[in-house]
Amino acid sequence: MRWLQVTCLLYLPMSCFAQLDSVYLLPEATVRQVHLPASEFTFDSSDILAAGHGTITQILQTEALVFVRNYGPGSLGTLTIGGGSAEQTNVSWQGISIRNPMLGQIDVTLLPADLFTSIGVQSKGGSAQYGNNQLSGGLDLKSDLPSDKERGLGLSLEYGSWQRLSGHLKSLYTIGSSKSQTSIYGLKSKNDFPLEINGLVLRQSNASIQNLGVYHLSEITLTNHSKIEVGLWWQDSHQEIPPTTVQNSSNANQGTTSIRSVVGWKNRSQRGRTEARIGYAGGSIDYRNPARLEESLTRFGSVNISAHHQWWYGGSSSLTVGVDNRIHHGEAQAYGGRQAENQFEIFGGYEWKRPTWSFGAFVRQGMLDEVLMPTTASLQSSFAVSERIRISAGLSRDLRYPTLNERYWQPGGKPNLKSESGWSQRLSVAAKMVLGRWTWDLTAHGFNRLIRNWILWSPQDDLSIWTPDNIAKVWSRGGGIRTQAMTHFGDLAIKLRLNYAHTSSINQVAIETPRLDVGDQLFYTPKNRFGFSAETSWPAWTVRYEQQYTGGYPGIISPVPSFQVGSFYLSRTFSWTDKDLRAWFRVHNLWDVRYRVIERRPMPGRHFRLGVSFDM
Amino acid sequence: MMTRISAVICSVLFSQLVFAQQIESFETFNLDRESFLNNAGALEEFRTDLVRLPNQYDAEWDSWSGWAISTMTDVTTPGFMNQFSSIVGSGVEGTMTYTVSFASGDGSVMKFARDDERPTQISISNSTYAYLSMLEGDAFAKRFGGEDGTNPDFFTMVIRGIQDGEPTLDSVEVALADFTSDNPDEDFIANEWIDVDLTTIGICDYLLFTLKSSDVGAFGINTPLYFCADNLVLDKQTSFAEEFSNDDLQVFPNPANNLIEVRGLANQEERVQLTDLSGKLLGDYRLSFSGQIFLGGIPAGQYLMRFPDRGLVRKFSKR
Repeated sequence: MRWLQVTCLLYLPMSCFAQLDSVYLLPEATVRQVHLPASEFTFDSSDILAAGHGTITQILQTEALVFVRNYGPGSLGTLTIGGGSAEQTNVSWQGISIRNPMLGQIDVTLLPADLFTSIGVQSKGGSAQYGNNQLSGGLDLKSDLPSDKERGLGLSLEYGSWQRLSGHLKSLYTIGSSKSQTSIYGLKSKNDFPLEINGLVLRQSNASIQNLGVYHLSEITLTNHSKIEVGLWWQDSHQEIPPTTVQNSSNANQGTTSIRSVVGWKNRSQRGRTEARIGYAGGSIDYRNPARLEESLTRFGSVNISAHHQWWYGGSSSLTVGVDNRIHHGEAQAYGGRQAENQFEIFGGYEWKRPTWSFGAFVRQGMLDEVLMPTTASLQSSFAVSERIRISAGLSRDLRYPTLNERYWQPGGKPNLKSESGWSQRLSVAAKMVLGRWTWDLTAHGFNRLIRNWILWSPQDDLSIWTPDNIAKVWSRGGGIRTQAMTHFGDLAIKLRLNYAHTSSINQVAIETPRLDVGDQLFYTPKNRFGFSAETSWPAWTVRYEQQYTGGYPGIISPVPSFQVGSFYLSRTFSWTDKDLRAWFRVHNLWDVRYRVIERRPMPGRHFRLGVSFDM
Repeated sequence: MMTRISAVICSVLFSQLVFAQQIESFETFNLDRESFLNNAGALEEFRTDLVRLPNQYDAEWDSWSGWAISTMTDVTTPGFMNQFSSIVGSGVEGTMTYTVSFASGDGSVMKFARDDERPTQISISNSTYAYLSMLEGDAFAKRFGGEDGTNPDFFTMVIRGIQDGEPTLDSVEVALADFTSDNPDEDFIANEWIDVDLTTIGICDYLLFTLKSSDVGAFGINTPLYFCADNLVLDKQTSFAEEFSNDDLQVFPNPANNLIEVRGLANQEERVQLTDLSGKLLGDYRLSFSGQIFLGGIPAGQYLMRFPDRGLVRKFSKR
């Protein structure tokens, strides 16, 4: 392990900083929760509230560690965390993975933010703890029922630029020991924003989006220590796919239907805790381009079954043993019908916690279609230098299975493709200080990760057939800081948040197609990102300003220039006993910056949203 | 054989010189209109008396590469689903059949049925897929001219002859689209058959077609790498091809009076014919090294000195 220590020590002074505020602030979360990840940082209800009826993209892009490859309003958006690919980033909802198993990714622009009560982000691999497929990071979407209310009704409406109109109706009710909340939501937007190209003002076309969804949560209390949680989520979206800036017009459109459900049982005793969960996440994507006579219908789904038990020993250590089973299926013309696979994993972990230090060891063994996969494991430790400073370190071996498309898409797919695998090391420092009236949290981290067998699709010699291969090796390293300062002067509260991330994700093997030389930064992976937000609240008023900077990065066609975007948010809440009326106004891209996240895909200039919600 | 050989005797002015040409027009595939052949079967090439067109076909997925034979006429539908149409909507001069090539990777190869052929001309057009992609743009490739119409875009074909595995000295470039001129009025995307003169390529075993585009990304060229070809013209080859060099052959003086001298002939007797421009034979000689031909009995005007063994014709004037 000497090389590892040397790597960590050498790397720390350079640029390795990060966020482990949850480790510092919520130490029990890391010790007591093995299967459900303890996120490194979490967007809380105030972040979600400020997003109005936006999608989680709006929230995520304010965080430097996360980069959303956004093709524009109404179009695709995929995640990259810590220089990894979208396929290496796990996205879970209520504990089950909701990624499309054919693609291994999910379009985050179709996930309305206000469905969730928290959005957790992990910028590290976590295969041993959270399931193989989390190779570079993870997103944990959670919805909790309000604990302070038994019943209620809420309605919110939002109107915005480009004929955007959305509504959200939710009802909270309690029957006996069961509490439920059912929501219906919808969105319609034309997205025909103006674009300026060399002084010529045009208007985006064929960019509308419509969403309709039903979201249901139930919690049934069986005993004081046992409960059942149910989640149901159906959503139907229809998106027009706009032309690029070098395309006259587009007739393409896509219908996406998602069906997600989960039933979880939790039981807690004096000696431990048991959780079991069964869920399904599936749907269909129906792409059509009538002008080009193109049609593509795919159907997919995943059955997720998991269970684990955690034994507690003397309140300072725990042993966890569990099993995960994910059965994926996909159906497409290019599959020649239906293909399925079975990912079966057993896992375990042991954690010690003392007043000044903690240590955890985790291991997971998976089988893909009854073929034994490489073992994944992680070691983590944390040491409190003082009451206010904690240092943590981690080492892990992580894995990502090939997706169904990579295995079965024909022509090209390879059923026996190897899994991507990598070792990563991480070091972080978390500090919490009180400076006069200010409370100040600072987390800094550095990471180093080498991923082998990175899967890339590339054309064969005659270019007529593309095949996936384990051709790339990528060395990612970087770090960041995340700091938050809070204070209040009477009723006036101020919260400042600043974060910065540096990500160097370097190709290690020369590849002809896509053209990547040794030492090249990966496509669409910014080296530098910066985010800042300032929020003041004065009982009923909230004012918030967000600024994000993204440094330039290589694109598939040409380099993408750096860009900065600012947003402004203002809200006012009127309260009567148990009734709240809230009105908000939000300006996106306040400084009307012309920018692109993906080349040839324009992003909109300044635009606004105005909303009102009523809760009782 | 599926292809007929057109032996054409032309008898007009210089461009219609009197010599044997073989033209491959691909009409003998006898396809119905609005159809295509993208599967050459186990042979893995479409064969005619003159050419061999490599083709790889995957029956399970109906995917192909190399060459296809087509009679498709769709000039309006953009995209991959219309990959077998020429933007002209027909073969050269309204004929039905032409070839379509996907010039991927290192390019498309058009082999000759025999080695050492001398291609002199081929007609090339854009495919509808590539043409509309350059004209309108699509999700992957740009509209030529770019966002503001000023980008110096180009889509160019390079034709090389390959002889004994080595490229011949000269290659020919064909502009399928060219927006590089300072004058925007000169920007064009070809939508007609282009007659390409291949005479500078000389004798070769096969032709290699490659495409270049200004719209390039990490995955290579974004412009669809398709083109269409028709009417390949081959000159008949002499069996003496390797014994002498045409560079040494001299016919002088020009204009001549009553005598014209021919130098640089083979050391064996070589056939030399004197004809008028209509192809009428005025004299038939067998000469070696050099010789003089008496022109006293013919009126002033333009005449042809033909060297049938070389497939060569020289024009001269008599005072």
